[in-house]
Amino acid sequence: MRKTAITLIPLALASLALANTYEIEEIPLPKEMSPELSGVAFTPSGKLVVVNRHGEVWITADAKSGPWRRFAFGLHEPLGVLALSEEEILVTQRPELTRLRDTNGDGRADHYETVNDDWCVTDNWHEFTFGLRLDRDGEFILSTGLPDVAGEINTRFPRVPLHMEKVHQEAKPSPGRYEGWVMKVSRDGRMTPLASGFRAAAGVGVSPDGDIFVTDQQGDYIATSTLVHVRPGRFYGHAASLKWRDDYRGPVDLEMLTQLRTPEAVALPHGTMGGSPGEPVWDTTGGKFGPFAGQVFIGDFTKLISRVFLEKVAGEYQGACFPFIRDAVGLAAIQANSGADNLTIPAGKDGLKYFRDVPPRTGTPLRPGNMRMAFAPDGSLYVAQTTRGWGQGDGLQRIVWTKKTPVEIAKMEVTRDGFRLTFTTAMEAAQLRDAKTYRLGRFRFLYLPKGSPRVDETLAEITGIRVAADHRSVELAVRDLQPGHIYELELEHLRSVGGGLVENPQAFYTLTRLLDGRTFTGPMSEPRIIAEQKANGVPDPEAGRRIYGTFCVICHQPDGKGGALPGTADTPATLVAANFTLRDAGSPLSKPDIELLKIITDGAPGKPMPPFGSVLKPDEIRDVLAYLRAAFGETNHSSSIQR
Amino acid sequence: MSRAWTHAVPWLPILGMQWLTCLCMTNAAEPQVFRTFMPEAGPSAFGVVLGPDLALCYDDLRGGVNQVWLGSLDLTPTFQAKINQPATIKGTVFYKEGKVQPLRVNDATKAPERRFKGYRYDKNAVIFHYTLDGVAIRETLRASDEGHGMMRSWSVPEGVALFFHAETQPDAHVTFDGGEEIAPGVWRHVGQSGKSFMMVIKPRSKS
Repeated sequence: MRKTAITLIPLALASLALANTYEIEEIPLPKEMSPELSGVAFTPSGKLVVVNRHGEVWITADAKSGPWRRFAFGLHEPLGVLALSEEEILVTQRPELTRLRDTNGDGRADHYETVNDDWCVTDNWHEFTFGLRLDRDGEFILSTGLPDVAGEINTRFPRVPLHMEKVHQEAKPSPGRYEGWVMKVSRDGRMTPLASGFRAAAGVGVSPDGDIFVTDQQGDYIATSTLVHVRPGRFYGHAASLKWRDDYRGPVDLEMLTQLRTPEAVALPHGTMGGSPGEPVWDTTGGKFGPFAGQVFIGDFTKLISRVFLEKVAGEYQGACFPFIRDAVGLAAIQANSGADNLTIPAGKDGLKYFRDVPPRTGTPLRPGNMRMAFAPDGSLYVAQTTRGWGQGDGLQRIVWTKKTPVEIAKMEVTRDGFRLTFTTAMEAAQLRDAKTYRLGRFRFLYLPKGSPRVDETLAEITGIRVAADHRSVELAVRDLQPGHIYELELEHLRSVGGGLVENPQAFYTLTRLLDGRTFTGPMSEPRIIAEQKANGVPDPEAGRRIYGTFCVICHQPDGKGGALPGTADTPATLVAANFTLRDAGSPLSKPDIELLKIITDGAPGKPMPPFGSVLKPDEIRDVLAYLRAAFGETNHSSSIQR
Repeated sequence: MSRAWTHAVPWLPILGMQWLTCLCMTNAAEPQVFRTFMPEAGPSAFGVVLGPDLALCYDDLRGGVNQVWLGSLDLTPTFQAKINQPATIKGTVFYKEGKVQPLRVNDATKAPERRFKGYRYDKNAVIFHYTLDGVAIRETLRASDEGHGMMRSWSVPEGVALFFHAETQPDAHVTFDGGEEIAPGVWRHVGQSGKSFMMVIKPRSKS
């Protein structure tokens, strides 16, 4: 056999500066490679390995100039890769964990060995298999996503017995064993199910200390994405997979689920901190990637990479998340959005109405689809991107620290009476002492089967400020510090001693436990603060815009164009989400309000649009429609929406 | 097979039909296995391209070769879709199997527990590995010499009796070698060193 070798025409790398502290470089891919990259890793000798959703594995010794070699092909949508050597590479593909070996030394895998396939597969589009990492014992860690009832479930010749009786009672069911679980597989192929309660744990990571973490994606039960510390035997909230536990004696009600559930380590508030997180990777570069050694970086489906600081409180992980790179709109936009979201929501035909006086963002060169990441031996961060059906943007980028210290909140730790912020550099002392520098609020997400709104939003009063002598940290005393809430911090124009503004002046601390171990004792599925009725009966498009940014934008896109994949001569186009900008007869916004309100409330039968009637109040649904009309509708459309 | 051919590049995934010369050439007569969504098959079945005009669906969950056709395998729908679309069979199907687990070990009447173990490429063939009731089986698939039919052979441990329940094939000419027909359509082969059980499948119109 001849080796599959692709030689790249040398290309000048597009080097795109980001606040001069990190650069985003474009990694050119050979034209023979599908750029829908779904895994990235390095061999022990430092060679770069990527996998794509077409099922190929490619290797190169030089990412900048190639050549690339196709090591394997024909895999079923692999979403994880682990390179034990250049001759032995493991992948998670939909139906199994596979060991690829080149046994004849020609540079191509000739042996595709099934390491383990002890879980259910049904060909459902959303039934992804994620991974792949080694735990502290050298065993493989992977996870399985739940199917989606918007797509078919193939019941022909099931590999394991199917339980279809509950499939259509849940948006994301678990028809077969270990769907919605995190598992480990030994080197000789024995699988041990570890933990249940996941919806789509799309990112699997293992900390330098050997702790297993996954990111789970928002949806039913928990309306925000999360970073979860996986402990054997625990249940993390999505009920569908619970029935595959050996001790399951179901059915279980919400109260019992609440008692069983272990909360996430860190919530990644939906909208502001992305929509669907990918792989968590730990900065083990020893400072080559900047001042965040030991912290976690998480790519997201949106144009976002977040950063997480973890600490152990009363024996459990919790901590704070920060934007690291995202669409740059700055503090003004965050404030204009009432701190609720920071997605690229369009201004619509009324110009900047919905961003008020915020100038158009210049954006970041980071693409969306940042689902897989790996640190290279040189300390740069490789980001593999795929967006199929959820947007546009595939490929490979690399983030390089320029050796300039970014002005950032390095850490946010809980203290006895509040929080300690530590910065990457000394900050302006007068500003640190000024209460107006800080805007602190709190909220929480309810735990409900069909969506869990963000509730109990209040400002948190800062009652004391203690600035460290080196001006690199500050302690904020907070009145009525409440466990079970997410504390959101924004910094107002805070500058370093050198004059640099904090690049990402926002943080969210998931305060599950206080230092003394106290946790939330109130109802997990009911708000404590009853929202005030709006004074007038007029729908509020601004409120609707925020809801759109939280619940709708992932499918319908910031520009409202939704998505449909082109068909072929033999296959029809696949509708992903309605396009609100269409103007022809029968287009979404040509429908009367009453029909659109019903679709939002009850969902669209036979289409991916889920019902939001149990998630949003009727007033909120009217607000969303008001936003759709204002942002995407005809100028002369006269809405009849009334409370 | 004498004709050299190259593999189809993935963004032109009508496999077995678009024989493009590209930088990533593979050797001649090399089969290609694509695990994917296949029509009329169990989850994650295999599309196998054996030659320029010969492809098949291999469904380990049902128990073997589901369909063989003269033509190609089109993965375009699968590669483009967010919500899954099966690959498309492009061509004329001349062989079909529908019986669940037509292969049996030691007892012709008992459907075995089948576990998939993987596959490997070897000398213009692809070899599927699996166990039937814990007995290791190797099944080799390759195109026949003239390229319009296929050969399928099984290797089983010495002394193990392998049974195959053949179905009537109106459009295919099917022959067996290395086994005996113990009942109409039921073939038996007993594992013996250096011997294998072979099945040759050719379309009637071209045989």
